[in-house]
Amino acid sequence: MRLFARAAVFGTSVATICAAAVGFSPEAARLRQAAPAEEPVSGSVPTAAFASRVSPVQLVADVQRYRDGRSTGPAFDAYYGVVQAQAVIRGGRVVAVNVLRHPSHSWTSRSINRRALPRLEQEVIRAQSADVHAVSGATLTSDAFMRSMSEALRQASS
Amino acid sequence: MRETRVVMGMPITVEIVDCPSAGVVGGVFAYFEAIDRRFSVFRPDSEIMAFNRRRLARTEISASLREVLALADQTRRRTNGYFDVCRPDGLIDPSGIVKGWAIRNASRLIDAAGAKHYVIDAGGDIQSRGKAADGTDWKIGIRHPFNDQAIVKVVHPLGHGVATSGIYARGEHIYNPRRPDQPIVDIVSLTVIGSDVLQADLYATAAFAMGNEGIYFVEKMPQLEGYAIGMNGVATQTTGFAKFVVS
Repeated sequence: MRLFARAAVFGTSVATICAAAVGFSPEAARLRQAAPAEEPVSGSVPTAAFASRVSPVQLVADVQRYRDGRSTGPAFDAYYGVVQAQAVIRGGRVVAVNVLRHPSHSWTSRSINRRALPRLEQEVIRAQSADVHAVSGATLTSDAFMRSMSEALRQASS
Repeated sequence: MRETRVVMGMPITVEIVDCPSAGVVGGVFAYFEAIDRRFSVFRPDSEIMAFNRRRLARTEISASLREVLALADQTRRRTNGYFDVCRPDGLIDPSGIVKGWAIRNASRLIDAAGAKHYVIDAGGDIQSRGKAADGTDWKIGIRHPFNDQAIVKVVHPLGHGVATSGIYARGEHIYNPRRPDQPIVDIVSLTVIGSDVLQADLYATAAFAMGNEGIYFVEKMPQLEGYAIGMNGVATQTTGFAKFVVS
């Protein structure tokens, strides 16, 4: 599976998807309050006025420790198909997130491979804590993915 | 002066650092409300619904609607048909154009009022100019697609517009006109930085509809940079995106 392979390639850095999933569990909420950020983010020193005006973006740090191995969450039915997630744990940390099942729509992947396209820089997304003036975004309401991932991480919790 | 109101079904925040008079912010919101009355497909009395229901002929529509329809047509051609205001049910729904267009026009209203430092954030599509109140460049976060409490990137748009298209809490309202049977799920979020918020919004919408190919489309477009996030949590960025990145 293409997605699977790619996630594994970039899996050496902290996979933030998992951090996000952790963020949904009550333990994570507790840990988040208790544990300091592992990696401080630069450019995040707000003025007092600014901080009072803008709601702070919460820090979601990957601070939970898990049993090494692979932990697979149950398959959940998202509104667009079945989604199943797997967490890969090494040294107590989540190093990769694999999407084991996702709705099949491989036509875009195939058409990309057919053409000679520029190689664009890729990275695993990382949740960061920084004060910003505004946030651009849309929210994926893939509860199914989050539930599967949360369950995978719960199983891996020692 | 900073104010947030819900207009056009989304929170809109207007912050003017050097506000020339108290009426400017109110005027901007009045403009957004007027746009909503004219272009909302949820209002039976809107001009767009009168046009859709054939109560208005093409020759009778307002200059605003004519401009929006012309813009829709132009964008559809430039995006190889990926940007289409015609919904599967046959209605013309220009909301994908109107949002960015309205923010761009609102920023012109503020320019005309003489302010040089401001930000408008309409549902995550953002136009900023000048500097923030603390004298620094405006900092815009890109929302984490799986956690709306977190961000994954911070950029300095430096006067450019920023818009993100994705699978929204409000439902999957973007579809691929060439594959209406297939939902878009590979890419969950695609952010575009463009010369203004209108360009950013139009191309974010169109590129998102292209799925995995969208970011390569943005790469090929001059004056556009993009950051696409896949369902696997891997982001792909265009070659010039890094120059906007703060962290």
